[in-house]
Amino acid sequence: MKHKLLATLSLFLFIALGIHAQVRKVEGTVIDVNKEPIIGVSVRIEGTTKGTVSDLDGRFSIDASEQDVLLFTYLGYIEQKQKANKTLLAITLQEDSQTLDELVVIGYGTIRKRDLTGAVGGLKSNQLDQQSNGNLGAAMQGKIAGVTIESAGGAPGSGSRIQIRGAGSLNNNNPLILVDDIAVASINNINPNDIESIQVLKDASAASIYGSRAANGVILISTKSGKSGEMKMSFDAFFGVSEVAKKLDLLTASQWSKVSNAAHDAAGKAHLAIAENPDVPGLGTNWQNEIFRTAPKQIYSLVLSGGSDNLKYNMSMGYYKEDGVIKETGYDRLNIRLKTDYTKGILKIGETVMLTKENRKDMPGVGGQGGNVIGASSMMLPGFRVYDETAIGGFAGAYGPVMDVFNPVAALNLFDSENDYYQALINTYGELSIWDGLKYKLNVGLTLTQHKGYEYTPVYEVGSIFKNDKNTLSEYTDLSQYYQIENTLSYAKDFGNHSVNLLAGQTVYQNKYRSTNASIKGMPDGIYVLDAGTEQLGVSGNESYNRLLSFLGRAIYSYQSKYLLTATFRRDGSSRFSPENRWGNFSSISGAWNINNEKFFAKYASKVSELKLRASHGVLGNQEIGDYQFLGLVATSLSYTVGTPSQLWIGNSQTEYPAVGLKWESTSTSNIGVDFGLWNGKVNFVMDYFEKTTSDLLLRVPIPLSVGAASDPYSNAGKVSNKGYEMSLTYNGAYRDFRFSLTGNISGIKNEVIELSTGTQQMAGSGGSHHGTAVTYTKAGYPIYSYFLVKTDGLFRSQEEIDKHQLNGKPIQPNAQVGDIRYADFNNDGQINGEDRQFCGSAFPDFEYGIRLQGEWRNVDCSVFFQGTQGSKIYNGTKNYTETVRVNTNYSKATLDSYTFNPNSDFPRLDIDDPNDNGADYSDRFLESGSYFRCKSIQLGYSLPKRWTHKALIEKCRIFVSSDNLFTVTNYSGYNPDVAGNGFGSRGIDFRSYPLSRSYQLGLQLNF
Amino acid sequence: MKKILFASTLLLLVSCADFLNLENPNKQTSQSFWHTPEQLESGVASIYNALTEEPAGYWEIQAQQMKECRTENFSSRNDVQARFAVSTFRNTPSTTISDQIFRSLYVGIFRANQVIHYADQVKNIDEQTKNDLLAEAKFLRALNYFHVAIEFGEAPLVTKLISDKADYFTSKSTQAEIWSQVVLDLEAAKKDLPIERPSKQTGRATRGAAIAYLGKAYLYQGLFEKAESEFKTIVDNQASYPYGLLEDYASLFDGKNENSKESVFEIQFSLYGGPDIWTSNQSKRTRATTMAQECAPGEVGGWFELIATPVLLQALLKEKTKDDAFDPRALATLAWNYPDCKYYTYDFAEKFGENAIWIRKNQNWWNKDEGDWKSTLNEYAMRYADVLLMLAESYTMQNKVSLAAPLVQRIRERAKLKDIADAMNGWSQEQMMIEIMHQRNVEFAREGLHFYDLRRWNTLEQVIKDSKVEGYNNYAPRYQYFPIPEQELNNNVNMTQNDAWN
Repeated sequence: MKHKLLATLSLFLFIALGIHAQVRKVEGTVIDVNKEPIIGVSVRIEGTTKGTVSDLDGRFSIDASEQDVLLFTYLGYIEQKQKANKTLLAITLQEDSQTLDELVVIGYGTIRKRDLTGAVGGLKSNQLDQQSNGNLGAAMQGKIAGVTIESAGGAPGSGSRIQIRGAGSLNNNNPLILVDDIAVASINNINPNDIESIQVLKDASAASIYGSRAANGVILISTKSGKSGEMKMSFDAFFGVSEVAKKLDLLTASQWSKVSNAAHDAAGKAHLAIAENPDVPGLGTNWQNEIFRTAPKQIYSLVLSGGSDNLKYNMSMGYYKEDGVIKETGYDRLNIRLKTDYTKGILKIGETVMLTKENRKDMPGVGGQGGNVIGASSMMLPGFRVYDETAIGGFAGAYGPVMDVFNPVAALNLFDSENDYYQALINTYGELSIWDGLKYKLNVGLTLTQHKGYEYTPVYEVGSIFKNDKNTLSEYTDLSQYYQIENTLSYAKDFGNHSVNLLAGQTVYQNKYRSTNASIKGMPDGIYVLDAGTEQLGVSGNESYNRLLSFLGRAIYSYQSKYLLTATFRRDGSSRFSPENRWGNFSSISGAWNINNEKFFAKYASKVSELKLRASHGVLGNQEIGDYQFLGLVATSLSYTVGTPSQLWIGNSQTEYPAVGLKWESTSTSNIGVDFGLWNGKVNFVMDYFEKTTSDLLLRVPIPLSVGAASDPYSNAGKVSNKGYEMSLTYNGAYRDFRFSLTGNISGIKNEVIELSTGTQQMAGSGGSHHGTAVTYTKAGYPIYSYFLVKTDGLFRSQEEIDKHQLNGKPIQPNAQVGDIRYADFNNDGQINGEDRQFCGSAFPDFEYGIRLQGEWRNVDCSVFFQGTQGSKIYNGTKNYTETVRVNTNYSKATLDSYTFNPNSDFPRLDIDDPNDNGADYSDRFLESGSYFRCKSIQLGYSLPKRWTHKALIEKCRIFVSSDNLFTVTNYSGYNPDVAGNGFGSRGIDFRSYPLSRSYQLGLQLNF
Repeated sequence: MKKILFASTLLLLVSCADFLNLENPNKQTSQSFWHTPEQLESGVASIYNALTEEPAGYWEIQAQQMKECRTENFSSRNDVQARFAVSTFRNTPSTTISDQIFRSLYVGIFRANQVIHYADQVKNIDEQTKNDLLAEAKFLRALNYFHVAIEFGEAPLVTKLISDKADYFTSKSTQAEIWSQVVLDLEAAKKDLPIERPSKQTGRATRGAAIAYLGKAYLYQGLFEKAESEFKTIVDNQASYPYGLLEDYASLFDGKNENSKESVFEIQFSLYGGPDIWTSNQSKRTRATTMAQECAPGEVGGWFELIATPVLLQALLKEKTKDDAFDPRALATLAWNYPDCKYYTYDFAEKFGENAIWIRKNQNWWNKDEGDWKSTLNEYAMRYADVLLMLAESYTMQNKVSLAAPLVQRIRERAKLKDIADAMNGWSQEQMMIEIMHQRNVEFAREGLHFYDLRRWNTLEQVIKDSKVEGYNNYAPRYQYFPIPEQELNNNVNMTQNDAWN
């Protein structure tokens, strides 16, 4: 502090005296606030490329004249300028993350953090642990309070699903994601190494400048920009291996025979041939081992950046390749990015160009009731063989009166299914500083995404159940084109105690999508093009458009940085609604009080560096219903066969009712929060409480079946509330030369459907078995898509207990035997069926949390990140087969300890006819706790001493080892409690999802 | 850049309304469609389409199995829980599949209502063509309401095109009111439908089909005199309605005699339409059926979803032919362990086991298996044999047993059974009904008529309980009909559950 004061004083002095140029040697040291020397700080004379770096003791030496201004820059610290007016300089750099003058990216601009009135959460590049993560979603998971990230399956490249502050809508809860101001559909294909910072706008105040697109929150991603100075280069490489973290405990062939035979005996049925005489006796085939593998992955990233005062550039290339833990599956991605900013006078122009190419090989879906490779591997009997050289295609398979499950190894090898994605994201801007704080900015951007799908199925015969008699090829391609044009005018100026920041703008967005799809059969072997096909040609394709036209405005006012006020307005017109309901108005207001800037607070100011109260209220919209819903459309291809010889008679008809009078869904959010900082940012605490109510819910309200619609039209019906809190705490500490930081966050949400159309209305979600009935429902008074299941009440231990389970003298479960499940007759009608369903919890956790620890000691650094959720429920669909011995599939080891073999067991008796319906898919027998605590990532790094690396002109050389998903503490019995359901109604339903893997990495980072 | 700037500025100037008015490039709207004769005719095709369409068109595999799995003759495999619940009399208003059947019937009705509603606005159409198409739409609407009446009893009656939200909620009509609508539509269809169709239109409804269904509608209501008069129109007018029985019963189901003289109304399947049998994308869907794959045994890769019971085999073996051989209908309906039984090219006992019973009717059993699951074997909706036996029943129920005897004899004769025409002449009404009941059971097994026959004969409960088929002890009178689906009750404020299900 003293040094700084002195330096500032001298600066004034020298300026006053106006001393003239004379080049001489300027020396000095660079330290941080803890008085530790900082190594490798770039010291450069402003406006030139002349520069040096600080050495091991933080010392530097440079030739400069007295007029020269020295620039001190170091990643993670605030850039500092210092006039070279003394020959001995002592420079103290402040860490970047701890300053309140830090600029925070908000919609269409930036703002000083202390002037912020809304609820935002952010991440810096160094908090992403991106070195071991190829996926940005995984790198963000658990790190921002209120942002729920679930893996969308463990398949490489499958990415994440993101929800901000719960689920308000029944259509779409995806936040708006902007990368350098242009909207993207997902973050899955972004190279995490390209990210400079991430801001999440959570409340209405922060997000409402994005109006109708922001109801689910906004994620602003800024990619790395260049800094003026010499070209810097960094190169990262790492290699790793992944393995499936957990396997299901299934039966061997001989165990299976025992269980199957017992179940057939109980029903008085003959044993199955495959049980009596398995093809592979003893241990049998372990189908999980047959499909899983230890899979390699590798990531390379090269970044070049630099520039002059006028032109800055940052370019990068990244390559990511990960093989799946399921054989034959995998993903690779190539990213190229260029970002430049050019300033000339009052004009500033720049662009971001991101090119991405991805290739995905997913596990194929298969015919029969295995569903996919994962499902099939848990159901395929251990007594069956994998290979059969005599069969066409070379694979054995199921035969006889068993469940029609496709040999998963055959599926992986026979079906060739690939998807390629090509994306170009281009965003350009031009900014004109018209006059003293008044700026005009034009932003023009587009993203083009092309998807190409290829699926080839050869002739095969797999067991007696599956065959394909003709080579089949299907190709698919679609192109999405998104354009945006944004005009904004902004004005920012301080007038003494008053500071204003005004914004007005007009924007236009257009989405266009077109797809074609063709399939054919009958290619000769070895020919893989549609031209060679001979029969059963199928062709389809479609197109859709939508547009959004908006006008927006925002005013931010600050008085002495004590009292802050922000008002935002946006008017959106959408092509998705009929002309009379097209326009929606969305506004918000928010205020904040920086108590620490008050005079009366001055006596605490040395300790309490920040104390801010925030409050906001606003309304946001949602239009995510798909295009053309308000038109009555005539569907084609509703065809029939007629004639001798027969021919296709093409049919057309209106199949759905138009959504008449459809209008915007709106979400109103109120938020209060407090920001609290101690000892100049050493401790930081942020807390928010919010209430979010979504009304005029856009949903397909079921209409009577008797109107004959193929699906239900959208209407505005219903209301959903989300109430919740978020807290995060950061502590930065040091002990001698050990520096560490601890970050934790926790958030909880209570989700409730307040009303849903008519009172009795309910919406069925998804099932968790092949032909399953729904297990989730949306009903008023409960969280969205909660579980409604028939409750089990232990086993009948005696005939007496069965007899006692009666209503008016009639047994409630007439087919029950000792050892069967007792079900609760919830509606008290004397029988057990689907009508006895009751609320059994939901996939929403009570709370979720993340804890990150980071430490550095000399050249060693380490970080560990834990994350978890508490109180969610998972419906384990796989158990519908592995734990109900009613169809002939493989079973779990738990069956060996069933009542049949152990009268003290809680597992019901085995009976292949299952007369008591122990295996009913609508019971809570398959519902489990989804709580977990996971070591998401752990990393240990070592930077080679500078005195070695400098000789090789390497500024920094770091090697590290890391592991992702090292361990998970959970009671959940499936592969993974971080469950991926495909649709909204299937959230929390674990049915044949690709398991999450555990991985270990070894990596190298080089900075030049 | 300049261009974009210009465009951007221009955007501000153009009318916002125009900018946001986008038409669907994929589909015509109900305003732009329904103006040409071709469009009207394609509307009729879509009503037929609903009969075989997923999820449960009345001749789609789900509904097909539901028709039979509730009888003593068949049971369901337990892997599809909803169907198994129906098969074992444990279904409820929330059981899927029965609600899918309900939906599919009204999908057909909605499509028929569109054709009927829009016919008048079609330009450049001659009266005859228009009347033909209207008659066809009415026939199909009647067919759907027929099925509503026999599956659900009381249900909403929608005969107008619904255009306003407020009209979504139709209250319940009695079964009698639904029957009246069926009769009304069939009378209209009878008037205008052609007696014969050109070969390009084989499979489409004819006047004969309308008359037969009208007779059937009367028969199901117990209006035997009216039924008799309709059936007689066909049977006693051989010149106008040249229907007849095929000589060889088995040839009805060998795929070589589709749309024969015995076919009054037949549901058509083919490999046209696209390569995918399991898809909701209509433009890619093969217009075939997987019913044969559903019924085939696991040994040949089938899914054994519908399983024939020993009760059915017993019924089929009850009477031997005059040459002391098996009834040809037994041989054409089932495969079991009889000498030299070949099934899917295999020796039966060796491949399928000595005690197995499998379905042969409408299976491609002469092949090694069901190939890629797509079967093109048509399904009979109305056979001439059915007309004959329904006429016989109409006579018998009016105590005109002697008039019934020659008709029953024609059925027995084709089945190579002993000639008992003389004896039958002297039978009581009860004796003749017992014979008709038996003949209908063995003649139409697996064709989806038996459940409804038993119900109108009031023998359903007794037959189910006597048969001891799986779940027989769950049977209760309410299972005579499906309940009104929960989805309809929850979403139609004017709807109530039918009495038996309350």
